Amino acid sequence: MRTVSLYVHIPFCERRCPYCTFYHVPKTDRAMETRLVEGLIGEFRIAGADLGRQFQIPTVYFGGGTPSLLDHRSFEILIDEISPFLTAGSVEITVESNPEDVNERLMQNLSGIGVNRLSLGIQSMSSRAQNVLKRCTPRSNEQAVRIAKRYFQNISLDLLLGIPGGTARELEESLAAVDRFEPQHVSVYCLEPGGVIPPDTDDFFDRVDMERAADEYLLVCDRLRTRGFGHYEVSNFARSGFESRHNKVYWNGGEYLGIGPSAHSFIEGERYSNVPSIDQYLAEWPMFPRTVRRHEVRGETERRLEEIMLDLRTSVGTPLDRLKCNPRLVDELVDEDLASIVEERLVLTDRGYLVLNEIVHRLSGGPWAASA
Amino acid sequence: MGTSQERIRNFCIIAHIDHGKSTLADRFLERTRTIDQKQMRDQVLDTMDLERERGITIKSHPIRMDYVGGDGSEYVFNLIDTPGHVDFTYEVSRSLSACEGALLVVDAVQGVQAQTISNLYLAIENGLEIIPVINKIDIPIARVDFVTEQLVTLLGVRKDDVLRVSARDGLGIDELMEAIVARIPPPSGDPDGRLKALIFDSHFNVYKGAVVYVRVFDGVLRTEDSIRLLSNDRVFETMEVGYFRLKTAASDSLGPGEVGYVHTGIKSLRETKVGDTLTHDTRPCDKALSGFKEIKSMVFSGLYPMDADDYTNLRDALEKLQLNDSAFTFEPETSAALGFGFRCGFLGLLHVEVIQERLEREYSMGLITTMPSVKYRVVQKDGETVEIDNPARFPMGGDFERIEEPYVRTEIITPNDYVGAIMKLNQDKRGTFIEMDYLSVDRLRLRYEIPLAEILVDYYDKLKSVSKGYASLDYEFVGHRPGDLVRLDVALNGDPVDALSVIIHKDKAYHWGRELSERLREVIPRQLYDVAIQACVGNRVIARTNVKALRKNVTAKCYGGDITRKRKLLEKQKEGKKRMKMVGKVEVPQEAFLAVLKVDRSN
Repeated sequence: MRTVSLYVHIPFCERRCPYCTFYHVPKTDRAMETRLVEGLIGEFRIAGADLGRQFQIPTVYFGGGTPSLLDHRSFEILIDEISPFLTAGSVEITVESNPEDVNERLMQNLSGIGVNRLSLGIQSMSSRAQNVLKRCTPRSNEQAVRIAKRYFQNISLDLLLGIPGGTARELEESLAAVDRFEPQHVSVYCLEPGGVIPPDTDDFFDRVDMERAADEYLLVCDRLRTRGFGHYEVSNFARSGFESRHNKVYWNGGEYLGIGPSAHSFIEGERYSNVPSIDQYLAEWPMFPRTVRRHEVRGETERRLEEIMLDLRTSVGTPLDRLKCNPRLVDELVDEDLASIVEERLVLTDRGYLVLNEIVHRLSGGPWAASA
Repeated sequence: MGTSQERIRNFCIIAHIDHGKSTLADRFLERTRTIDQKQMRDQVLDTMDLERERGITIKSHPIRMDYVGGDGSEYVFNLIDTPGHVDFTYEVSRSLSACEGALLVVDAVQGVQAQTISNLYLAIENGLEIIPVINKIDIPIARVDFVTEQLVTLLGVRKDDVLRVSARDGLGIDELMEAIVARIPPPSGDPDGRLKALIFDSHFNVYKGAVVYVRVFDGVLRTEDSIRLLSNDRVFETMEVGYFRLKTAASDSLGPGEVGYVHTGIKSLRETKVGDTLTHDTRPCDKALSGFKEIKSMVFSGLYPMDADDYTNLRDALEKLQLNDSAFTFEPETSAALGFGFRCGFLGLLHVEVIQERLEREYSMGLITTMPSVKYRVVQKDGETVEIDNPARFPMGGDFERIEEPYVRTEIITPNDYVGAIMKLNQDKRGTFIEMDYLSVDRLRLRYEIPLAEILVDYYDKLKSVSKGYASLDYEFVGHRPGDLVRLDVALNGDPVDALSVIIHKDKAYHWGRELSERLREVIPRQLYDVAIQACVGNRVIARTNVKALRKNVTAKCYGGDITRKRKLLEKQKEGKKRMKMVGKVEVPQEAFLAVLKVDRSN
């Protein structure tokens, strides 16, 4: 049967993180949450009908914003609505959570309704760094992980690199904590601009030291590998068998339906994005998909560019025969230790991942790609 | 043939840049009601966007005006606008040959400039009647008496002959127009004689073919005449003749002394050369008018399309530009680094910029322009002389007798406060002092001979800067002289890039090489690999630096499957790469090829 993964966007945030450039709104009252849940269910029904109702959902991901702010009743209603479609026995349901929201009750509730994967944004274990990022204390992080581990056997921790003013010692603190916490999965992100909204303060990204972020990335890749994590995607590391099945759907070209404001979908080879405005979303979802969901038209060039980019993000890489560039370029990438060739596929090295965009430019054609 | 010859006045305006020539022309257009208030905008005659933006005139643009004189008679004024910049002297000489008189316009604050003097001499050589005019007398710091004195000395005229105007405020314009009637002689010429008309400019129109601008000397030129071009015996039938109003106005004929245009229907401007003589095919005149002196390109630069597929488009665009610009030359050349392109000849750096900008704006061409070079002469061991205008062809290994480079004689007029600084500048530029004389108590003229290559790049800017803007410059080519010259090459990751080579004096090579590699380091972006930049003379590396490899360019975070954001970011980055050229495995931005221009040569 056809499988379509589900992403649910919960845009609420308790407060603004200074580095965040993604769509979120402050949660004002219960009424707003009720209307959002109503909208999500309505959108899901319409989208489900469009899909002919003949599909299974192998993975669900509650992302945000901060899904952990959602009332338990809301989770119940949403899970009830989608449960008839869930792949029996093997579904992966992830919820993103802020460490300070983690308590026995929330954990109990989530695991009670079938959530089996928890993603915690701990970011750093240095109090200085957490202060710069306006995130919770390392102590809160520590406590959250301790509680979460009692309820979840599949936990992912987010780490941030390139934090302004960061030092090698701070990074060591975070890595030591990873050793202690023994998560199944780690996501590592460099602070980067380029989302839908500007950062909190104009100069925030000017203060990010890209050179140091690059050094940190290489160090973290190395360390996690020696600790037995597989580096299966640019930013993602997992113990064997604990790769995020949901995220792999994104990279591998599987279908996914995104519901909620600013959510993204990939259905039958076409991409769609929802309007990044909760007001417009709430006002207009009954008219879905006319105004809320926008078709992102892509030409052959765009599709090809995405294909190469997505392929190269993962440790599986891209088949050499798909690359139409000068073969000398591939040799150069290998010589410079930016890539290796594994079973007729080009796979990037850690250093290669760091300059992935640049490599995609070179490989994806255009006058600048051809080595003279 | 409409107008009695007696009532025609053909004149041009000679002025230094910014001395108010175009504004004065605007006043004439208003007073003669050639243009009404509604149509009036500044610098009406400067039709190219580029001209209006830069406030300079590049193409001469004639216009015919009807003037009712103080005596009640109607006169025809043909004003032929001329460019003021030193690069465009040839445009001036064309305009002069169509006129009987010239207004010499001098700024009341700045006084006479070197450039103005050289144009003035051109006009005097052409036998033109000169009317000296001081403009901008409305400005509080105007030095009217002082400038009058300058003009009296320069022209040997009486004080009263110098007219005082403010083109901006319209002061003194009526008197000036009366002076044009009174002082500039009407054209002579025999209406019954054999047709003799001079082409002084031309442009190409896609519908009408070559449109030539003519000044008739003898005979009458009519529509549907069978016309012969004396230089190549090409015969054509005139499709339309007419005058220049604000736009063109068709007429039955053009008689002696008249200035107008002819639609030739000829499909290429190459056959209708500026300076050629038009005559009737069946009743030709016996002798051609003396054209003006052939304009020689002094500065050479390679023009290459960013995208190799644009080669043919670039050639077509260059051909079209050349139609209107006989001083601009081009021929195909190839570069190992840049592929197929053209070696183009220009009058000077401003000319290079103008052509480059026109190609980019009017023809939407993405271009790489290589470092401008002059034309060197290599005297070989067997005594044979070879001219090279591309550093890539400079003979290596000293297998020649000597190398000669072009020299110019510069004439600098400056307040005496700046003489020391200017002499120092000229020394730095390898100049040889010739003479110095006083024009007035506090103003003097310096003459130097300087290699053309030295004044190409930043000489004029430096001169302006050391003299706080007061010194003015003119120069003319005096010949080739031997020089101790070497070729400086640049290698990126060990591969020489021919398009970055320059020919330079041996003593300057070291400094130049260091500065150049530093500039390149600044403009070449970080890329996948380290880029080693080396400057070499022969096999000797005289400077090296490198651009460190790019460390990080990745969009890591993926929020809820938003692949489009990542792709768009990639596309945005890619857009920036359109101004890059792949040279070997190095991405070199367009501006790198002109980085040499930013090198400070004199230190």
